[in-house]
Amino acid sequence: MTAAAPILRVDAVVKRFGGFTALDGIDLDVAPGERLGLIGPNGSGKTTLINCISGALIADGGAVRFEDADITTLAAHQRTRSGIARSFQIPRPFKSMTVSENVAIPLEYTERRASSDRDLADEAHEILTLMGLDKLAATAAGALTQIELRKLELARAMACHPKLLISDEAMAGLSGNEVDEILEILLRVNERGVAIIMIEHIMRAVMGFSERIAVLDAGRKIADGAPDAIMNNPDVERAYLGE
Amino acid sequence: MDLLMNAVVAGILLGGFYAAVSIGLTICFGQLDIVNIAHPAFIVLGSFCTFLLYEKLGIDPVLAGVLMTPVFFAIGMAVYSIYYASFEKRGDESLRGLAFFFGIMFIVEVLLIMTFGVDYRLVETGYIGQSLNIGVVGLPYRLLVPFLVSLAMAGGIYFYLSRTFTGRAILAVAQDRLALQLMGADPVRIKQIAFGIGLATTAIAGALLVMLGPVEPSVGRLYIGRVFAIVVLGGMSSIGGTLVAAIILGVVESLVATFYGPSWAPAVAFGFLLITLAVRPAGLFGR
Amino acid sequence: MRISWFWIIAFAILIAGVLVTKLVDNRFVFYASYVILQFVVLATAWNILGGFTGYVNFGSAAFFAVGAYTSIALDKAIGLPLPVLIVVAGMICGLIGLGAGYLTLRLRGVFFAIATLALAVVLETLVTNWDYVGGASGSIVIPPQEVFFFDDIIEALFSLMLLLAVLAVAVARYISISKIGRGLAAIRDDETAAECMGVPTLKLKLISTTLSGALMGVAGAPFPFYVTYVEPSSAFNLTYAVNSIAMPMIGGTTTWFGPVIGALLLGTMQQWATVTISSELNLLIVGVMLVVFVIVAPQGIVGLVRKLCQRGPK
Repeated sequence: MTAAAPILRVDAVVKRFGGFTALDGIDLDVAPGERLGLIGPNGSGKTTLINCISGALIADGGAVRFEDADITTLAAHQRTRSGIARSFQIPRPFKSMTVSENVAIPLEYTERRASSDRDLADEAHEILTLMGLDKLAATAAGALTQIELRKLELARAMACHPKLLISDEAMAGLSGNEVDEILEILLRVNERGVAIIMIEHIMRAVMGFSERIAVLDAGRKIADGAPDAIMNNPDVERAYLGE
Repeated sequence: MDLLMNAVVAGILLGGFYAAVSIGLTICFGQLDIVNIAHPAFIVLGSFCTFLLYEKLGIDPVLAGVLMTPVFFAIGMAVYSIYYASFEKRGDESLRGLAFFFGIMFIVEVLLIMTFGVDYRLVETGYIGQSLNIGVVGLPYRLLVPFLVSLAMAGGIYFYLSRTFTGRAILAVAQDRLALQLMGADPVRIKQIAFGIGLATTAIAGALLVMLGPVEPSVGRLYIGRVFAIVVLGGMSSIGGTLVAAIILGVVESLVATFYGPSWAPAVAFGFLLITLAVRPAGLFGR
Repeated sequence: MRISWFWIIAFAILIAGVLVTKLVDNRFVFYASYVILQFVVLATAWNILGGFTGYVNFGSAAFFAVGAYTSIALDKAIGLPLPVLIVVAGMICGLIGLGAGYLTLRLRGVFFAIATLALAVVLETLVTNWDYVGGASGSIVIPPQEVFFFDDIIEALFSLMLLLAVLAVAVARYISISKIGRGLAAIRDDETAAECMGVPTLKLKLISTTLSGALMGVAGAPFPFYVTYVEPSSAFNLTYAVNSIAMPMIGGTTTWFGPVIGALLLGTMQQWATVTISSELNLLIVGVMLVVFVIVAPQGIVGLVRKLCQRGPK
């Protein structure tokens, strides 16, 4: 196998809701350690696509392969265990737990071998430090601010021991400085060899971050390439601005 | 054959009555997403109030049911206010909200037992014992009157929801919060009114229940499976769906009661409920 | 491995319980304590699913009754000893819990709750129509007159129920401090997020419904020998359903000891109150307490005490 073999391969995936076709034969490859931006107008199928990848939805047609294994019909938790983690657009913390307990859940449930409480605590601390949440470890998750919740989402995703992280609008509604903070965290995560799919409406962030960008419109992929090529693509312009 | 015909006709009439029993829950559970498991308990409360009004004042049960609706409406508004402030606002409706309605159901039942004992009560107006005979099929008035009243009530609610401003606001609460805001309506207020209407239907349903046959305080429990089966089968939020589902359940129950014995009838609703949940949770008419 | 305080105390309670049977002559103490301990088992069992996992079971009475009727049927058919009956009852109720869970748990939580409500009615219908166990008119069970070690059957039943209560609490405690318990808490807080964090939600929920159902059946299995006459309306009594919800809710649902506190408190109160006031009024009080607690003190007594302790040191 060459180094360029994709870690994730989405092959002609179709998803319908009743009579509405949300995904109409999407193909998408992600290489190990790659930073991919996924953009498109509202309702273009971005969230449906990542739901089909992460297992929140099961594709009606086509196949999703991860590290050469067919995961099309696998349950979400099994996909997480095989190395696909996601963060939620609207943070969904475990409210009755502290920040470190929130991180401990995925750590414990995705570890491949049994490790002691000590190891878990160390690992949780390491991830929280990476996210800049270490001082809040003992705080109740319900008491966090918006930006802290976003960081917790990413921390929990990191605690899934991922090889691919899907970040679903982790920056929506944040201030400019906060966006930079999250971007920096995601770059640090990427440096550890984790491939990242970033869904984002903030163009500055997604263009600066991504090595490659895929554009969805009305359930189809209309463009896929380097950021500057995408910016000058007439199809993309049409999709965003209308004719 | 006559037996079958009679069973089917009785089932349709019974189903009409089931629609009256369930329609309030279609509003509360289907449209407002409030799991009011105390719904049948309020129906039984309605039955006992009807019984009192009939015994003490000689008021016709149907009229009694109608007279009680404003009181039940007010109770519904009050219950919703508590529910909203204590659970919905805190986002804690799933566990504690359910326990709350369970507690209410239990309190209503125990209060009825303490007041009336565990004896069966019924009303005996002049027309209740008679029936209208068409060929071999007999239509007993004790089934026919509830059927007609129930249809009238379902029709009334349907028109209220589709034709009036408040009615449409109630539908919007269920489906489209943005539209509701554009209409300039306060969602909490709208839900309060809707819950009030849902509970007001239990007054009439209770009156019909006590016409249909004798009632004792714990009879409400038999209706829990039925009402939820009907609402789920009917697609959760549609009045028409509720009506059709109620009649289907009525006919099947009537057939089971005729051919296997009435003590098996309660199991029918549960079977319906489980099969619906397992096979088609969106109901008959859901997408 | 060091032996935890929990087990030392558990054994001390068991030994104390057996000693009490030798020292106390008042039969009423054993009759009343049996009922209270039975509620400890029921409340603890309910809380494994309700409190830890966040799924409401309204059908506790049905599980309890199935446990009781399993005993009746097997006692009549083969005459097995009580401990075996308890195990079989637990297995059957566990299977019912598993089945109900499998059918409804993939949907929203409320459907599980509604299904358990309806399940109670249907199982009662089935038992009422089952002539072998007496149908609607009930069944008389003759308990053994001679029991090993104990002076009479009620002392034996009391000690047995004490053992079952300790075991049930031990199971609940084990779950709450284990990986399973942390997974269940994640499900309770946010099921979708839990699934995405690698928690096998369906499997854990099924473990929870199965265990919870099994323990309820275990609580019901000795019941026929305690009352000696069982009819559907007594075994399926709503009292069991209400108490097994009210006790954890009032005690506090997020810990293993909350339901124990609730059961001891409410159970004792009810035992005292049935002698002094009517049983209906008694049940009314439980209902009102349940409603008041869920509105005013959602974390139960445990939550109230914790709040006081946090305020205290300042």
